[in-house]
Amino acid sequence: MIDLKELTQAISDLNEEKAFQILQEFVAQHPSQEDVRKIIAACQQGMIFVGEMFDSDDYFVADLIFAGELMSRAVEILKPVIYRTNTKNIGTIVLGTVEGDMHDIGKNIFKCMAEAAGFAVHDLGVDVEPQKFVLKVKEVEPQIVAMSAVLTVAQRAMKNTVEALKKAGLRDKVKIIIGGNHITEYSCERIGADAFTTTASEGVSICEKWVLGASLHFAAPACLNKDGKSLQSL
Amino acid sequence: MTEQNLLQERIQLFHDTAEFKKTKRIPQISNFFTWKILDSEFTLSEALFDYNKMEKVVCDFHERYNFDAYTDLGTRNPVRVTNALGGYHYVIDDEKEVINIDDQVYFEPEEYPELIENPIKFIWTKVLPRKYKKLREKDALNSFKIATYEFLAYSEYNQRIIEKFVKEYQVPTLMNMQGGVLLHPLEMLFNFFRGIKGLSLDLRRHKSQVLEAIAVLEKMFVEPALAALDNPGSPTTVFDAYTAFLAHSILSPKQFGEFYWPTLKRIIDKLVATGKKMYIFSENTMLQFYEYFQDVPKGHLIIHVELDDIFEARKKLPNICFAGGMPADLLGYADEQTCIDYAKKLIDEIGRDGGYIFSQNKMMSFRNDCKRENLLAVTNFVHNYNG
Repeated sequence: MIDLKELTQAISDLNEEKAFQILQEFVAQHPSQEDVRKIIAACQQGMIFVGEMFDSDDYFVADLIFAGELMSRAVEILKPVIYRTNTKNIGTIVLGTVEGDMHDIGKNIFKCMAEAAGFAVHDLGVDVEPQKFVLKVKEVEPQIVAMSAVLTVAQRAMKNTVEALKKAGLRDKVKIIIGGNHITEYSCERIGADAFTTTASEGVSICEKWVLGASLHFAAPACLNKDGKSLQSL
Repeated sequence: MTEQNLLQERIQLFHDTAEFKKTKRIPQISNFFTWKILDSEFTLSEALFDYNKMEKVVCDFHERYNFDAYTDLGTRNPVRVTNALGGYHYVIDDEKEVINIDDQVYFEPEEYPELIENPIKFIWTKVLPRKYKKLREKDALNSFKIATYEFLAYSEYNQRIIEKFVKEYQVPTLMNMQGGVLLHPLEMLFNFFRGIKGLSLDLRRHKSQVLEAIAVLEKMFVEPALAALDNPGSPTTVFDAYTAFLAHSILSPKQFGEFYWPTLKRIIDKLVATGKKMYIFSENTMLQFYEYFQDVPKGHLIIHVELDDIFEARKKLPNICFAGGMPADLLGYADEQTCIDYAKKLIDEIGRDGGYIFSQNKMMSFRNDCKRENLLAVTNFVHNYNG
């Protein structure tokens, strides 16, 4: 059997050569579904460590992008053996870069880390119209809607999306998190989201808190940071 | 005061501020880009495709707000030139009032050796035909001819608007475009060749080749610009050199030390040796690298910060003149008094003893980045407030 700790370590060290070697050996062994579950969990744990190292300023953006690429390739290697495996699912997120904005790096990092944390993520891509969010929310009934935008102009589209969810009677059924470089508490309140973040790892922490917390309050939005505290107004 | 004195007064004001001398008022730089079009009677497309309309936009903007210098006079997005070559990288949406620019990825990591071997040949034969589709077509020569005319028209506008600002409005140019632009080679790889994702992967997978590419691009593009610093500065330009930080935003401090700082240090050393000043627009944050800048002598670097806390920046780097600080969040959504209060706080806390240039904390591009009444109130306040 593969040394799972070694795999987790290789991923958290961003040592792709080592990680791919372990995964290829694993696939060649025709593993059981139980072993596949364990190896996926080990990969996810490696990504969680990557997120923690980003939080502690040991990793930076290029490292997160590299980690995302590493994880995507890891999944490719594992594909032949994971098709029947049920991995843990702690919640569902509908994700997209909002209308008018084509940036996807932050969104993709968030997606990768959220999936590693156990979320099922429905990624709508970039330049996503409010109505597309609405339709997807109706379809998959997520606990969380996550919107990304780098351009400040796209904050208007975030607000429009929140309004569209309200109009469709879906707003109170989901938590909404917004992310992007220029997102502040001020913009969060204006948009009507429940939380905001400027980093993918913090965003995932907030989402985890929401779905794993003792109680979920789908009440009036109060913009929160990852500790669940309301931030001071500007 | 004569008109000529106003131009000199503005330049002196910037120089004194950069040298941490107490001045009678705080100089203001406009960091407005496409927002000024949205503040005019024209749409984005109308202004970006018509130099006469663009001239009206920037002149009206100056007459309305009266900044001391401008980061853009309508020349940042040469849409007509790139479109003539079939490189439709500027995606203009007049309805949504948005201009997006595609990520620029024009070669694969396996091609680093070719770039390193002969960068000019590689750029002309590989990068440009991939970037501009008309260069791959049968009629490429004619497209190139049309693009050359467009480039000349663009240059003519550039020259005309600079002359108008210098002579008519007595507003100096912020940077010397003739040899004063010192783009770091890593920025070239990031912005023009490999894109954010490609470069992020290259830093780990192809580290030695990235370093070699930086070395050859430095020799080709940075060294001539450094040599130009030996010449006397332009009498109508505020700062001798200009650069922008963007690629730094993906780096760790250690990577910054490996990939970025060596070239930047050579640039800074040259500035110090020649007694020159460089204006740096730093997108995202840069304070994670503050230790590298601690020993830069006062009076040579002006860093326009975007997402950094400018108050913290002042404390950590008392040797650097900072620009920026006025949040788009307030200019776009708060009321006039809130904006003025924040402008006052900026000047009182970091501008009293020089070393601070008032400006906006981001490239102002979109409708909601600013309200006209807020900008009028703030520019007027800063112009008359002396701390």
